[in-house]
Amino acid sequence: MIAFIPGNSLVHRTDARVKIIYLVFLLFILVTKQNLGVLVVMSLITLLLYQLSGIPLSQPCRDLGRGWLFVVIPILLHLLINPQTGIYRGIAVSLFLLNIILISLLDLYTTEISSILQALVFFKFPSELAFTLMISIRFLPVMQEELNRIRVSQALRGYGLTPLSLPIPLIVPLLHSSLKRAMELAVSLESRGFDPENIHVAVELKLAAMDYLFLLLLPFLFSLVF
Amino acid sequence: MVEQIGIRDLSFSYRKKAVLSKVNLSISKGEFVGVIGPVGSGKSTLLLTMNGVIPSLVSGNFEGKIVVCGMDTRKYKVSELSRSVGIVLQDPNSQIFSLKVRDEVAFALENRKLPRGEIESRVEKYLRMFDLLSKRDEDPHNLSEGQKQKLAIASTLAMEPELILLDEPSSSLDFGAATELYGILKNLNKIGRTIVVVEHDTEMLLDNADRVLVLNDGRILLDGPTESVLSNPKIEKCGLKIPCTLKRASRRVRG
Repeated sequence: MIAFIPGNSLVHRTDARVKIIYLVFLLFILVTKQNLGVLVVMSLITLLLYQLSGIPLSQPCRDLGRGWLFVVIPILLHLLINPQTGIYRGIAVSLFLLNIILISLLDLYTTEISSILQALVFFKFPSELAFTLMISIRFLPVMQEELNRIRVSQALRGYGLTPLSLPIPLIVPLLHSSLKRAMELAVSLESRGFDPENIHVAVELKLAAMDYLFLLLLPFLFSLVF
Repeated sequence: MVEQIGIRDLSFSYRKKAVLSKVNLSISKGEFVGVIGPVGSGKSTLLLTMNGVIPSLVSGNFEGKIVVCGMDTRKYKVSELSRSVGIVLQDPNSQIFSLKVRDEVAFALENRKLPRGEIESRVEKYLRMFDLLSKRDEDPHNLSEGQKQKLAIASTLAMEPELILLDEPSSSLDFGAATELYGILKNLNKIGRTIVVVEHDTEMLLDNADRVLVLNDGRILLDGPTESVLSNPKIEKCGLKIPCTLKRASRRVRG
């Protein structure tokens, strides 16, 4: 499930704000430097970060399930369009997507959602949007579980998902329960004094010496890449 | 007695379906009121009107006036009313969103901007009250349904509101836990809190409520002291159950 995995690694201990800065930096490199060499180096950095965090690579593989098809599809499309050189372009696009997904997931695996919310509010991200984002991330595992429950209950009535069939018997109940849950959650939040225009965050994030070191390192890395 | 909830000519309909019709009700401070009725009789809707969720968050045709703790519910935001009114909804899975049990209880207190020390002491007090203190650092998602229900209730009670509204709070609790919950509610009632609880378990109301309302088709069918309402044969016509204790007692009187 895409959720915070408790740990005490260097990546876990890094402040949520520093992680967001580095996440944006790495994504910026990925978007602006789209050549195969840079993408391979970025992939190695991503693997190193996973190694440091102690999160096994099998975790995102499990969490994304069939979603990995979207990483493979570009290679196939480019091969179809240009059989001679398409493979390189296809691999580049796939590596690009793969890195974005893996780096973003690592941030979610190693940072508590409340810390992500605090960091976003710190960066003057609109608080309503930050809270909505936090809630969406929080409910991903719940929705995944709900989908599994629906899949089992439909399978008990003889429904089997084939590659060519539209998953309407799965989507409709999931959508219905999600909307109902969203409405009830809104009622519950407001009934407990939540005011989206005035979000109060009780615990403040504190930068440690290691976080300052990472921040000082950033301009050096920036000049190295650009 | 000071009136805590005053409802005058309340009618509410979702689209064209009338849910509540011409409801008039007065609940005094310190009362323990049970609300019963068949499915679709408007019990949960009535509860949602008492903390301003209807008409603030749920759209529909709203007529009449509701004054709760001296505030007209149409003129105040739900978050403002929440300072005096706490509500526990039926499904705890739709209310719990924090990653840790303690954060869920602290949520409402943080919204009120209470000092950190006060938040921590209340979190501990209410988690202990519901036997959840050992789970304080766990993900609420991994709790049992009964524990989730207790957590949702603890999260509302920690706000220490004057008026507590509960929608079928014992639906996912076993008998022991439900009795324990009603014991806590009864103690809160003794110190002056007003309790309004929608409940299907008439036995539980017989033991705890001072007054019972019966809703049928969006109207108040019966309203009075618990024992006299719950022994009225009209409630069986609505598909509700007369508590066994009262049935046995009436048989003995007749025999």
